[in-house]
Amino acid sequence: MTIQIRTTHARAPELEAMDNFAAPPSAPLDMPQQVIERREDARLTFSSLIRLLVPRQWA
Amino acid sequence: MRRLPPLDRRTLFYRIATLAFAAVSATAATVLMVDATIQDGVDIWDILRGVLILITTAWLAWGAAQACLGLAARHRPVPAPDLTEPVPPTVVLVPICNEDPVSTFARIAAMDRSLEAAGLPADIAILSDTRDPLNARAEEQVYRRLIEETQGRGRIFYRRRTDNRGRKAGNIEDFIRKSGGAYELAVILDADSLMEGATIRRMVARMQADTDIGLLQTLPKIVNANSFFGRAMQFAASFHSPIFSRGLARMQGSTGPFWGHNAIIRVRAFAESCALPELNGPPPFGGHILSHDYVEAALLARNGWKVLVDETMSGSYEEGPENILSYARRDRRWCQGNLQHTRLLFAPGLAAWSRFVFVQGIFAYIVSLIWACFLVASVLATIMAPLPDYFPEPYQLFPVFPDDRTKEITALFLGIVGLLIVPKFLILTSVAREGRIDGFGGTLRAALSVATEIILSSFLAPIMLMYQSRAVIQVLLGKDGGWPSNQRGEGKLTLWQGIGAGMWITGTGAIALTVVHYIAPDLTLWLLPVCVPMLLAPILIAITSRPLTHFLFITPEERSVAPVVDLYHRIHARWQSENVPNASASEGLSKHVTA
Repeated sequence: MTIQIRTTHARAPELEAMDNFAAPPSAPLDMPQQVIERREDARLTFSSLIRLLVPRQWA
Repeated sequence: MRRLPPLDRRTLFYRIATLAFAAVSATAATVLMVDATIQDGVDIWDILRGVLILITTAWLAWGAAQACLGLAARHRPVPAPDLTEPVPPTVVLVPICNEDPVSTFARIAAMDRSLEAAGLPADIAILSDTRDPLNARAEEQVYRRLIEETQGRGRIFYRRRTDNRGRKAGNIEDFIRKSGGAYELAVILDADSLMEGATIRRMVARMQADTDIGLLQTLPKIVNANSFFGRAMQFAASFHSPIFSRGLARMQGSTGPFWGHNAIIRVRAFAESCALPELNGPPPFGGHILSHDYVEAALLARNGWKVLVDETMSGSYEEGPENILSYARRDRRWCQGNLQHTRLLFAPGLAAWSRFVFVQGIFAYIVSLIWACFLVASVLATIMAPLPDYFPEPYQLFPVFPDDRTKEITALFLGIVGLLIVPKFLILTSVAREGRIDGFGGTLRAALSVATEIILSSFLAPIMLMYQSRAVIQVLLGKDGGWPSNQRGEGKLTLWQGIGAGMWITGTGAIALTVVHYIAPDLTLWLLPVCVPMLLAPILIAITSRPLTHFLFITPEERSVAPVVDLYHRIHARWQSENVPNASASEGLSKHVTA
């Protein structure tokens, strides 16, 4: 979709800075990072699967 | 530490019954296949075909069983508590990234008014990840118009990240880290989502009444579709999806799904459970988690929060792709995201069902490749088959003809087609029984729509199979598809565009058909249902992107436009007529922003 932005110098009003009214409230909340991958799981990639399936001498 | 409520017997029964149906159907198909193919001796191709048909049929039967499970109406009505004072502080989050700001912000204006009408005080936060500076400028201008329209100062917020880490999941996480303490509940939307204020009010009340719910997912209906393809999807989402979702809800119990939008979360639960790390290694398997919603649902359940889906909640809408290409583009991203979940199958502490949901998501994509492998293996098996030996015994007077196994193969074919079609007609009877058929234009028109949708999906299935197989192969080869911005609302495609996007499918179909015709002519007829749509791919891509007829695919949402959708259309039309965004900018230029 195309939106045309027309702007003119003559009609430009003084715009209030966005930060004055747009910013959401500041209310920090802790978000502890989750453990979803064990070290050994990290190695279970497609290439490691291929290495499991393909005999060493072929690789 | 929180724990999910123990699995109730009913949910366990549904799971076992569904799995058993899939297992029995798959076994029956494999027996038929093996019986038909081993008469000339067992070879590697027979074993391969047996395994492939086992997997593919199990997948189809699983889907069919899910639909059948949803056919029966709910025994117990979904709880619908009233909202009580004090109303939990609630925010509606709208993450956006290079979207058309006029459409997106007009939706927000409509929802704001709808929330006000529903008597639910709620903030709205637009979380922009837009990188294009022109589009960012346009967003700011339309935001000012939105504030003016809604008098939303201090209630409707807008912030843009310059660091797009984690994309949509990171965008929401960033908001929760900085502002989450101000809210108890958050409704997560997409840029094309629309929800009635009354619906959000019901969701808030449900979360308020049951403080163990971490996430409540609604079933969004597709609206505003115009093309043949888009309207077919819109019809399917309205007609079939509630039944499939009811089946899903029965099976999933408290470890339900999160589809990324049109859902409400408990902010504290989300904060303590869902900060996603980046996976080791480069994309497509490493890096940030692409399909974050499934993972977030699994992590909420891991921390003992209930994740529920409520398919009965009306007033939840989204827009869908208008043509095959935009569908395939979205599917490429989902494919990569779901295959990435192979890395999370053994994540510590997940509920077994959450792992199963990951497997299901992975299968949704690799099953296309498995079907393709089955077709190739069938052709190769025919080519490699030994010539029939009519005189196996020495000095035999009369020839021995091999048994005709056409019956078995036909039974297998009909069984597979049945798994695809029968649930849809069962849904038709269920919709009629529940008294919802008038919304779809009456029994005759609904039946015609179902039949047309089946024919259309049969024609499109080989094309989708090719796109999905290509996506799976690309991901397995390590090609990262990235996160292309959504191109919403794009419509008609020309034949040239169809040729450009679908010629490789036509070429593949033509080569396959020619090779089979010369090498194994007996198989030509069997391959026609796959190869003919492939040959016609460019035409199908172009034709289905056009608005062919509005006689079919009527939906209740189309017959009686929801107030919030109607309001959105009116605000959007007004803003367009006002040439929004028209606020001043520093340059005296005309610019074009392509969203």
